Amino acid sequence: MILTVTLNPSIDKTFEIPKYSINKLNRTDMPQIIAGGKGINAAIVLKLFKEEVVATGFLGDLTGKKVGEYLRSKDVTTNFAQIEGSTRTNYIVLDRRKQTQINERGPKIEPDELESFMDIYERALSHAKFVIMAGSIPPGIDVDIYKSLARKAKHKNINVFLNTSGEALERAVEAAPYIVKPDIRVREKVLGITLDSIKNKIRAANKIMSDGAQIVMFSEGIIGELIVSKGKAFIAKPEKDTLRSRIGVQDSIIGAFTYGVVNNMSLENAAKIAVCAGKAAGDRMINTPESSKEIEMCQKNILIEEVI
Amino acid sequence: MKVKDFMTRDLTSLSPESTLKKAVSLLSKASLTGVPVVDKELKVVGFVSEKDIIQIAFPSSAGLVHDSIFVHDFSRILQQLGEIGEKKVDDAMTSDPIVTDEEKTDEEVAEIMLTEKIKILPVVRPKTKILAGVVTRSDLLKALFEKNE
Repeated sequence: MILTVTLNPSIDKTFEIPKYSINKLNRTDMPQIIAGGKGINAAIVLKLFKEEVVATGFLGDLTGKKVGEYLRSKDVTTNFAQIEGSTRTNYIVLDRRKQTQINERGPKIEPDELESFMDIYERALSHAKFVIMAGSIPPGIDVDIYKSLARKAKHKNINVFLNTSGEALERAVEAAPYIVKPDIRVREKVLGITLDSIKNKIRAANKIMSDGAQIVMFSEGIIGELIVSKGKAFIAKPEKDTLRSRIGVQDSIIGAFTYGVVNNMSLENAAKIAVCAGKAAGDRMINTPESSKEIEMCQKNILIEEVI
Repeated sequence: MKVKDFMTRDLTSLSPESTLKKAVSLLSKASLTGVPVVDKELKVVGFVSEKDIIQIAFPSSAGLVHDSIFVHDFSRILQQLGEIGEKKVDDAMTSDPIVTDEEKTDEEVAEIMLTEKIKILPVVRPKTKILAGVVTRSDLLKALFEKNE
C-alpha cells in the first residue's frame, strides 16, 4: 500500500472568468468544486494505476467531509484524523492563460489532534511500502513534522517522497527521504542556493543528496522536470510546452513518478509518465488526469534531454 | 455484488488504549455512531458505539437506550462524561465483533446486518483481520436498490 500524507488538504473552487477584472463585478457559471491538496491528488493518480493507496492527514467540518467523500468516490481509502476546525477552501480564477489563486492558511491543529494523527500514521506504516508527504503545514504544527514523519518511515525501511518548501523542506532533508522535490512556487531558493539556472538546480540537488536522498526533482519550464540522481541529470518535457491550468500539475507528477519508482521503472520512463500525468491534469483542469490510458498514450511525445 | 464494490473505504478507528473522552470526541467530529477498534497493525479487535459509551456512563438508563436516535444531543451527553472520560475504549467495546470481508456478497452482508441488528459492519481483508473499511446500512440499501434497477 502507498500512503499519502496531506496535512493541509482543501476544497478547490475554480472559477473560469475569461475577462477577469479586478475592482469590477465579474460574473461566472458555477465553479468547479473538487478536493485538493498535493497528497490528495497524488493518491487519485496512483489509484488510476490501480495501486492500493491510503490517504491520511487532517479533515474537519463540512469541507473535510467533502474531501473524504471525494477521495472515496475515486476508490481511495481514507484514514484521516478528525479535527474541530474546518478544512480550508482555496479559490482559483482562470482567465485564459492567467491564473489567480487565493489559498487559505488552513485550520489550527490542536495537540490532541496531532496525537491522533501520529497514531493513525504509525498504524498505517505497518502496511505501507512507500510514503508520499507533500504540501504546506497547517497552523499549530511544528516545522519539523516532515522530518519526524520521514524518520519514522525510514525506521521501518519505507521510502519517502517529500514535496514541500522552505524550512520544513530543509529540516526534513536531514531525514534522507528517498525522493525530494522542492516546491519552488513561492521560494526560488533551496539550502541557500538560488534556483535561477539548471547548473544551480543541480548544485542544490547534490547538496540535498549529500544528506542521503537518492533522487531530486525540480520543475523546469511550464511543464517539465529536471531529474537528478547519482551521476545522472536529465530533463523530461513534452514536445509542446503548453498547459491550460497549473492546478494539480505538480501533484499528478508526484503521483505518477512514485508509481514508476515503486514499479521499478527506469528513471527516464518514470519521468515520462510523470510529465504526461502533469500535462493531462493541466490540460483537463480537474487537478488530476482522468485515466491511466491518457497518461500512457502521451509518453511517445515526451523528450528526454540529458544535461550531465 | 461483492462487499468491495459498495463498502465505504474509510479506516476511521480507535485503539483499545484510547480514552472514552477521545472516542466521544471522534464520534462527534466524524458524525459516526460507532467505529472499529484496531490494534497497532490495524487488525480489528473490537467495535465501540455511542450506545456502549452511554451504557458505561449511565448504567441505570441502559435499558432505555435502544437506538442512537435517543441521543439527539450528543454534545449534551459529552458534558456529562467527565467521570468516565479517562476510562479506556477497551472497557466499553464489544470484543471480537462480527466482521465481513471484501469478497462476501451483498446478500450475505444483508443477512448478517439484519439478523444481528448491526448498523456499521467492519470489513476486513480476506484471511486477515486487517481493517479495509466498513459497510453502513445506507451503503447496503444503496447497493440493493442499484442492483434492482
